[in-house]
Amino acid sequence: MAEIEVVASRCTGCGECVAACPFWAIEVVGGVAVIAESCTGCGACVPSCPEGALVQPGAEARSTLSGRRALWVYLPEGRDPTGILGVARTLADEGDYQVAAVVPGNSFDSQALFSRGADQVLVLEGEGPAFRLLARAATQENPVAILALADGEREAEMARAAVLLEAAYAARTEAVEWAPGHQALRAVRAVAGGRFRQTVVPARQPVLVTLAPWGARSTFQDRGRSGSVRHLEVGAVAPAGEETVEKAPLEKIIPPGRARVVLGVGVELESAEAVAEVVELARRWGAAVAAEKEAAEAGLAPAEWVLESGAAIAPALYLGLGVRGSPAHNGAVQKSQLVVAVTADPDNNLVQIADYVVRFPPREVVRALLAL
Amino acid sequence: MRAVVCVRPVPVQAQVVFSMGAVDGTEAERQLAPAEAAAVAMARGLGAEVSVLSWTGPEGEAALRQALALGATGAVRLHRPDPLAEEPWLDPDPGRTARVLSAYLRDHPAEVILCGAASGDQGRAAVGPMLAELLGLPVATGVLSVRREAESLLAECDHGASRVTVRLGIPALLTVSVDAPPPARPSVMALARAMRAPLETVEVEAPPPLLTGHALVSAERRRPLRETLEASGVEEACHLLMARLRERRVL
Repeated sequence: MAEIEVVASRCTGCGECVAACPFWAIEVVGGVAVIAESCTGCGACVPSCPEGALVQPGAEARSTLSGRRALWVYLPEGRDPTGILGVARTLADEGDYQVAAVVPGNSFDSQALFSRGADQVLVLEGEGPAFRLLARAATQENPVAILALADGEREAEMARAAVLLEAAYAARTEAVEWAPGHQALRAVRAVAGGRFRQTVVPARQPVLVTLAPWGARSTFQDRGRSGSVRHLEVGAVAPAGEETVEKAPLEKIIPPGRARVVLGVGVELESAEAVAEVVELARRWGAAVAAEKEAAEAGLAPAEWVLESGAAIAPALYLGLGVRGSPAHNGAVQKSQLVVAVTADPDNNLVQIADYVVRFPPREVVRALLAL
Repeated sequence: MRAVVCVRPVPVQAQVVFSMGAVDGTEAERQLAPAEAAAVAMARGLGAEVSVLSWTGPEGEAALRQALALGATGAVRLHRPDPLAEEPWLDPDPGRTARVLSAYLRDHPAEVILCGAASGDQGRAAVGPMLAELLGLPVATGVLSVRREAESLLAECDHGASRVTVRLGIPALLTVSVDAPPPARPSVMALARAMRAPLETVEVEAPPPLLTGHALVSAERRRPLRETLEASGVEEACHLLMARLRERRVL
């Protein structure tokens, strides 16, 4: 149901609103803007019209981004290992917002958080699971958005907080930016070999966004910055319902999403013994191991090693060892800083996105690298 | 014990058509994610009667039959016409999916609800925890194995850097890790039965999306150097490669 009205006598058919609409719900027909049924009433088009021809009845009563002044960054451990505060800093400066580092306990270095981009450290005080404290605090304070690192169990907590807040939730995104007019946030993530732009609609509650480690990276550092620390009493919230009985470190291969160097296993390696040599090389280099789907289907690698575009990575180096380079696999690794294709196959497709190509049988190359 | 496995049929990657400005998976066959197939096996391992549930269009029926072949005894398709999204399989709003599933599950409760920890295409791991919160159920995420102890479940979970044992009262929700044991390959007879099995289709009312999206093929593709390291032998090629990697400071 369209919630935007076009004042036809003012509309010049200039098309500014067509470009501003995040939902492709406006077209100009006969020189006048027409709002399609798919309009969600987000209001992003209203300020784009130079003639004031777009009207949103009842907009005054609706909570919009302009009514909220803070961007929150949720840091459950009280520190910022990737620089996600700097990502929020960039957004805040573009839209004239403040950045709050939200910590659920008293274990934090406030000066370190200010240097990374925070204007304020908001300390949540209360009893119960941190995600429920976060949700209750957000209900009280109504920030524009809550950003967090997409990292293990935190993702489940953010998803649950989104339900409590009845908020839009964009998970494992690679980047976040403002939509034109600063009325909506856009989160981008790779999927199915392409880049999938999600448009997050500002609703009555904050937008929650988790960023993949490479999307949460920022080098922002200003040791001269200062800020304030505020304690927010949230009270007691309901327990989570599940109980952790035991927790132990899990010894496993470094996940490709967190590694600086990733070695890719492809079908040209031909044997399990060759793959074992790749694993040994990864151990020596401190690298992660991934695989092309065809290698898993050939029984050379377990299914969980498979890298496809839904799980894109961006390491400093991706070394494809006999990886053929399917579109989905290339889509997953193309954001690597450097791609190396090791192949003896003249029809190899990884070379299309490779910086360096080594034209020798991959197993021989692995052995030579081990011998160096 | 009744178990429901929630699945999200996704296109077979190799059948997705890529072109500049669009990703088209509408003609691709749909399949279960490995974690969802493992969830069916895990539910059966609990001795449960297993149903599979999905919010999908008719194109998702092949994946539901795949679950039936793996041992599920019933399959319910919550019909999804999805007028808004151009590529409904991209499903940008996990909260909307969780709300549709929760509305059905409130009327058709189960002792255990299982989801894949990550769907086959997007891997956001969001629907399971959201569904648990909507239904007020305890949740264990990244479950590798589970066993029943009296009126509770004891789940071994992969939480990235740690292995966690979680106790949950029944009813509960589990999101199953892609590292969980995969199901046995179905027999020919099981496949044949699954092909003939009736699927229940239920019309549902979906809430409006809180966010939507559009698929784009990246216009920001990297510009590779494409330098072939010319060498007379493999050792020389490796020395050249290591020199380049040191120059670029990646090693």
